Amino acid sequence: MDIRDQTPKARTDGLLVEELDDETLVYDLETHGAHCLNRAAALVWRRSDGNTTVRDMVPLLAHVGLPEEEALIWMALSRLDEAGLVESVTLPGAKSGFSRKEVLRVLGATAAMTFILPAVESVVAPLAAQAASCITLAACQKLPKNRCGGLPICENRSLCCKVSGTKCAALAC
Amino acid sequence: MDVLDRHGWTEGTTISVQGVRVGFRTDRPGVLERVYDLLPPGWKPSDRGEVRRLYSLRVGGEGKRRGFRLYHILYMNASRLERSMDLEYLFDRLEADVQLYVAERARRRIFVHAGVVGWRGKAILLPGRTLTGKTTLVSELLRLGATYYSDEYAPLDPEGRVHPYARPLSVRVRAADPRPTRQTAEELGAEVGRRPLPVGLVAFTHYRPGVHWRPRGLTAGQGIISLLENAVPARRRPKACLATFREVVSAAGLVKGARGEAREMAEALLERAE
Repeated sequence: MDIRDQTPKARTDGLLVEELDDETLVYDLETHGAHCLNRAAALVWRRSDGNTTVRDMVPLLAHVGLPEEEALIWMALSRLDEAGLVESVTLPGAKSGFSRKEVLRVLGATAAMTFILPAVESVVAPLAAQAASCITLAACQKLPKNRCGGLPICENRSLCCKVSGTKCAALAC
Repeated sequence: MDVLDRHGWTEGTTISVQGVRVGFRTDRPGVLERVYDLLPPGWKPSDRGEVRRLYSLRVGGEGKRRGFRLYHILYMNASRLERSMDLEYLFDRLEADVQLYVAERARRRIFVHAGVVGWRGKAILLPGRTLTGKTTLVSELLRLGATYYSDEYAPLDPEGRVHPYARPLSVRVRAADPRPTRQTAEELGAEVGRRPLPVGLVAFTHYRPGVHWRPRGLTAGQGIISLLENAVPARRRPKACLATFREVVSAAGLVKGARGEAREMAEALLERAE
């Protein structure tokens, strides 16, 4: 099967969706990721219905003022895939993503056009405790090194919970 | 909990704030007076005794045997939250824990970790977690004539208006100070806001030495997810957060960027908020 005959399917379960004028917000209730899709990304996400092929999506780009270039669809799909908003997609040439630079080169466009390219901005909603004003030394030392968070240590607020080697420790803020 | 309940508690109270009820008890007369100073703004005594969260403060100090000192211990329900020889430290922990609990569970407000001032009938919101320089910036804005609303949390109502949460500011004179000093807005010559305000400007910023503030504008969607990153009940009530933030961004300017010295930034913010 030609890779362009794939029919991407958007995830719909466990998502909260808010439509804004030019953007779509998606909150993932499973991962607590919040994603902001610009018009081009939202268009591809909406048409990822499991029936529309990548090839058929290309003409839709004109609706958001973009050239009908297949690379833009792949770019959108790779961003949506990274955000976990589409079921697995096989990208052409075993590529794992499409950088803005690459796509602009394909389009022969300028950097000024980057803002209309498909984009998905993501954040992870914090745990309430991550919004706290301090963390105890004991709690800091129990955290895995990728979750130190940088919060001040409650016992001494001139120290913060930071990565030290393979663990979290109280270091100068 | 039964064992803890059998301890000789001498004073106790239940308070209600933002629709959340919290209980406190202690075994040392007079300590509750100190606890009242730590409670979130707007608290009221509650005559309903049943609470989901009960803090118990066991005051240690000199033991019965000469030369022995006992730990002060703070419990949250049946769990020991903290123990220390420093009672002030436990008060700090109690304050932070109660504030966070209320911020997460408040029924009609969405609490965002942010500094807030009022300016010309609108609010300037400065979201950011601890140590991003919120208090320094808020203090500087107050010196320039802004009205004080909060240096910690911005309670937002469903219409997107921000309500006062005017605790004394936690000022660190030196970065190495283990405990911030409390300063009231009045001591800085500022007024305290009393009424809710619509948000006029949201500035996402953090301190970086030597930087000049050159903010970039954010779209409404970017503003909403950035607010979500600082929202205390983001995971508990994502739908309410999104709806509230939508109201906020519908009428507010949204900017983001690292800042240098607070004075320069404060002047630029007020100019932008005009």
